[in-house]
Amino acid sequence: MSKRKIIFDTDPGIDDAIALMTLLNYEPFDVLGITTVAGNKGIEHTTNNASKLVRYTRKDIRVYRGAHSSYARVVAGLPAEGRDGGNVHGEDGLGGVGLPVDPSNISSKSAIDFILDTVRKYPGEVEIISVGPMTNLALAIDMDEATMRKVKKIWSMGGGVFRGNVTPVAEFNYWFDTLSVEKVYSLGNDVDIVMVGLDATHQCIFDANDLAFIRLAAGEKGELIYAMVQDYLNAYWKFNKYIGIVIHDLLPVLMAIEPTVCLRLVHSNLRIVHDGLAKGQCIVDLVDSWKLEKNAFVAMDMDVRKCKELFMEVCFGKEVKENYQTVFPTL
Amino acid sequence: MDVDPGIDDSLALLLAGLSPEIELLAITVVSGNIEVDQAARNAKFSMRMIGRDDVMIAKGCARPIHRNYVDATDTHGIDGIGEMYFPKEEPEDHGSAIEVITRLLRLYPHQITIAALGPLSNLATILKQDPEVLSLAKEIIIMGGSVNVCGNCSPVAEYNFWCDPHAAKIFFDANVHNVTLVPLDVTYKILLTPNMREMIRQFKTPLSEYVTNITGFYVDFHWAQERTLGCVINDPLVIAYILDRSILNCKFGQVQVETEGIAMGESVVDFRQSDVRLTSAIAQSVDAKRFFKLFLTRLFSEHKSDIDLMIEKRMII
Repeated sequence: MSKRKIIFDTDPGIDDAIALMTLLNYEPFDVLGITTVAGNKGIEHTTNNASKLVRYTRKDIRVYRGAHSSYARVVAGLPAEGRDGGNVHGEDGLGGVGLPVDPSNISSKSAIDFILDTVRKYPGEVEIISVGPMTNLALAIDMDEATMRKVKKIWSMGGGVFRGNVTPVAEFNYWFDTLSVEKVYSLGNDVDIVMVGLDATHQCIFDANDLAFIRLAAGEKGELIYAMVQDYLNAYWKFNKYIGIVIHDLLPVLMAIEPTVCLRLVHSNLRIVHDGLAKGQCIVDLVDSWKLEKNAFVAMDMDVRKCKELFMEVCFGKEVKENYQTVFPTL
Repeated sequence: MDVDPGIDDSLALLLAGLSPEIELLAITVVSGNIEVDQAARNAKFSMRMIGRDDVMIAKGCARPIHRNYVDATDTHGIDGIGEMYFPKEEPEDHGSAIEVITRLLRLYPHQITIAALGPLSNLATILKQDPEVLSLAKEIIIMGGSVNVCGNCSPVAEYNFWCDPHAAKIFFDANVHNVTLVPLDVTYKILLTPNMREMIRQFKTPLSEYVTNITGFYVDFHWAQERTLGCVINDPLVIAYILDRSILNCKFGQVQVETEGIAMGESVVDFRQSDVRLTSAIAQSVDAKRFFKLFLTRLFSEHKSDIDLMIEKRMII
C-alpha cells in the first residue's frame, strides 16, 4: 500500500514544533513538504523555525515559504505586520531552544505553487494538515479552485464552538485570517474538512506530570521538548490557571494518524464572523437546526488518554509509551 | 526537632517554623542524609528563609554508634539540599544536642514533643547516659523503618534505621513511653508530584523558589533510582501529624531492630505483642490529601486561593 501523502501547513510556534516532530516520526506518512505561513510569528521566523525542525529530524523534506500576512493584506499588496516580538511562544517562536540553522532545505518555490503543483500531480490523494492561519490555502484557491477541490482532506487546527483564546469567542488562527477560513470551508462539499478547535484541544492538557515524564523518560528529544515548552507553561498558568499546556497543533496530527482519538465528530455547517465584537467566531450548527449545507467535520470530544499514548508512541517510540502506561496506570 | 537536613527534613523545618501551634524550642542535628556540620548549616538556612533564625540549633552525633557512617548525598546532593545553595553560614553555638535535649526535657517535663527525623544516634546517646530522661518527653514521634513495604536502603531497611541500626535498637529496646513510629509504609504516599512542584514554582516567591530548587535533585534521583515520578517527602508528615492527628491512623506493635547481616536496619514489628509497656504506635494509613492541603497552605498561605482552586480542579491531588 502506498503511503498517505501529506502537506503540513504551519507557523511554528511551540505547539507546531511538537506536532511537526511527531508527524515526521510517523513512518506510514509520506510528508511531501512543509509550507509556512505568518501567524504565531512573522513569516521569516516561522520559515526558519520549520527549516530548523526539519533539519533536526534529519528528513529530506523541503520547506516552502508562504504568505507573510493575512489574506486581506496580501491581496491588498500591504507589507507584513510586525509580529515578531516575544509572546507565549518565546522570542524566537520555539521557546528559545537553540536549534542549528541551515536554510538549505528552504525551497525557492512558493508555498502556494508547491501546494497546487502537488495536488495537480496527485489529484484526490493529498491531505493537508493546516495548523496556522489558512492564508496559503485561500491564495491557492484563488489561483486554481478546481485543483484545490481535488485535495483529499484538510485537517485544520483552529476555531472553536464554545471557546475562544484571542477573544472570548475567537481562536487565534481563524481570527487572524477570517477570509481564508471562509474560502477554505467553501470547498466543504468536495473536500472533507476536519476542524480540530479549542473545544477538542483544551480537553487534552499535558500537565506537569506528563512533561516531567517526557523530560526524564523520553531521551534527548524529550529534553528538547521540555525546554521548548517552559514559556508556554508559564503562559498557561498565567492565563488559564493550568499546571500544564495545551499542544493544540498536535491534535489534528494525532487525528490524521488515528481518527478514533476523536470520540465525537459532528458533520455540520460552519460559518465565520468577519467583523465586530465576534470577529473570528465560528458559527457551527451542531444540531443542524438551520438545514444548511454541511461543510465541516467538527471535533468536539477527544479520548485524552488515547491521544497521550499515541503521542508518546509516535513521537518517542513504543518503549516510551509502555513506560508511560506503567508510570501512569489507568484506574 | 532532631533532624539531618536533608531535603525532606528542610521541608519539615519549614512546616514547623510556619505553624503557630508549635513552639519550636530547639533544632538538634545529627549526621544522616548529610554530615552534622553541613546539616546544621542547612537547618540555619531553612529557618532564615522563613524569618525563624531565632530558633536554637545544636549539633549532635557526627557518627553512628557503631557502624561506619554512610551519608545519603546520592539522594540529597553533596550539600544535602539538592546542590543549588551550598549553605555556608554556621549557626550560633548552643552546646551539644545531647545537653540541649536533656536540659529542655528537665526544664519542661512532660510537655515536649520530640520529632526525630534522622538517625536516632542523638537519642540513643542520651539513653546511654541516662536511661530515664527521655521519659520526661510528652511524646516522641520517629520517622523511620519500614514494616510491610520495601525499604529504601535495602529490601527491608529504611535509611534512618539502616544508617545507625544500633541507635535504633537501643532506642526501641529501652521501651520509652509514648513513642509513635512513622515508617515508609505511610511516607511513601507523600509524593510531591511534578504538578505540585510546578504550581509551587508559579507562586514565584523566595520560599517557592527555594522549595522548587531543593526538590529538583530529589525528583531526578527518584526517577533514576526507582522510576517514581515525583519525590517522597517523608519528614514533614511527622510535623503534619502533630498539627492534625487525623492525618495518620496507628496501631500498636512492638518494634525491634536488626543490627547485623543482610537484614541490617530492618524494623521488625510484632503487632501481636499484648504487653503495652513494650509497644509503640505504628502509623498504618495516611490521608495524603489532608497532608498536602495542610502542608501547601502553611508554606504558601498567601496563595491559598490558588491551592484551593488546583485541588478543586483535581490538578494536584
